[in-house]
Amino acid sequence: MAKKTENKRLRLFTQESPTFLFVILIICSILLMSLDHRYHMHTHLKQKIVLVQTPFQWIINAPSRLIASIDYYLSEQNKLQQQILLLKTEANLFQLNLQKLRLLENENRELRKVLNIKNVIKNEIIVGEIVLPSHSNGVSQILINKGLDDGISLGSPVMNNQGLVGQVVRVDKNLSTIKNITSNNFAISAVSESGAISTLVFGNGSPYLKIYRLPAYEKLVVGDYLLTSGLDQIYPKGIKIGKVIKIIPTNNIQFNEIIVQPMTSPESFSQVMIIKSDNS
Amino acid sequence: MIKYQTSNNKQNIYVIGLFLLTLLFSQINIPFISSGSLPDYLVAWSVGVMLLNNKQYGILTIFFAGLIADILIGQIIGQYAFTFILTYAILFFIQKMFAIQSYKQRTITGIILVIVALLTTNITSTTYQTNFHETSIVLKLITTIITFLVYQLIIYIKLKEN
Repeated sequence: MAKKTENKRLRLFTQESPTFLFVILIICSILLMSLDHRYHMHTHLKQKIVLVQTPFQWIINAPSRLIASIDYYLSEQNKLQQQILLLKTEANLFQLNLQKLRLLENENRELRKVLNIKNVIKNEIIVGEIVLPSHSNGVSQILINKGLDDGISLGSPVMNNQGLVGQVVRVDKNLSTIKNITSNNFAISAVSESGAISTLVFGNGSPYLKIYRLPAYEKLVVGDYLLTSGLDQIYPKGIKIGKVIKIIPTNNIQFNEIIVQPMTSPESFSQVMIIKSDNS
Repeated sequence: MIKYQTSNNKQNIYVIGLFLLTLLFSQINIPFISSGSLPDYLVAWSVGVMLLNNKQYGILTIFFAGLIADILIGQIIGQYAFTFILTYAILFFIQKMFAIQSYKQRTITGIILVIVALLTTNITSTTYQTNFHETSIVLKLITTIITFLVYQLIIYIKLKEN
């Protein structure tokens, strides 16, 4: 008799067992995930919740911002002076380049007039401020303070004064989320500075970008810059993507793997420019 | 036989408060630490609460907590709910098979559950990739286990007090 009771206790599917409830709830969860994946219910809900959530995000990240500010203000004076000197030199060089560019711009305008070519791409730029570099399930994202009200649309390319930053992946009323170019499986159509090499550059979640298989005969060297090609019709032509820092031979001698250092990282700037596409 | 306990109002408020804190923690962006290596606070919280074996924090409570987390900080509705239910089911079957009584035994069970829950979250994630960074996932696992141990210690001490 006692043995019988013991056996009953060890059984999984006794009357008290919530196995049926487990199965029902697991089915419910899978159903919810499928429905959300299909109808994007979460995105609609999130758009309503974001107004309540943003102040909390701001408050909770205040200490880390404070630490960053203190760290910034406590930088050594010498270092700052050196930076000022360096910046002054750079500014002078930029002034020189600007003069050259103005000359080229005028020349270009005149040539366009002569050739009767219209400017095909007329993009408007919106300047946004970074609210916080965020993350969602391990994927780094950047939140900016511009949204639908400012005319930002989904998929708009984002850049800053150094180069390409990423692409807008979510737009709310007054906030937008940007996916960084270094994110996993982020692909950009690129050309070399000379325009001779056209390829695809991929992000893989690490701080660097990669060209997985570049034909070995292509003359790309360390230090070369890669620019957007404009072939994808998302990113305007000529935005700096990154600099080649390593060329690694692969098992197949016909191809090389290229490591590219992006021009920007989310920690290195506070403002971004969103390129408003013509069709938005 | 699983021995369920009952809780008073103070303990309920304490567990709910810890859940809200966990939601806030999930929004913290810690400088100098890669975002991929940050712990999954919700997984740590859920395993800690499940291990209480409390009647009031049963399967439905855990499921709804998962749904709330999905809506507020999740990526897709049902992801955390699914993870929590699966973890709860595994804990239920482990407890049916083995007599888990001591603090050490509960901690080891908790670590196993954290690993299962993290793997489930990764697999059900919409950004899941097969070529993910191993270092990052291992670091995330380690940080989540540490967070779970801290949570368990807090829960254990606080509930002992009550």
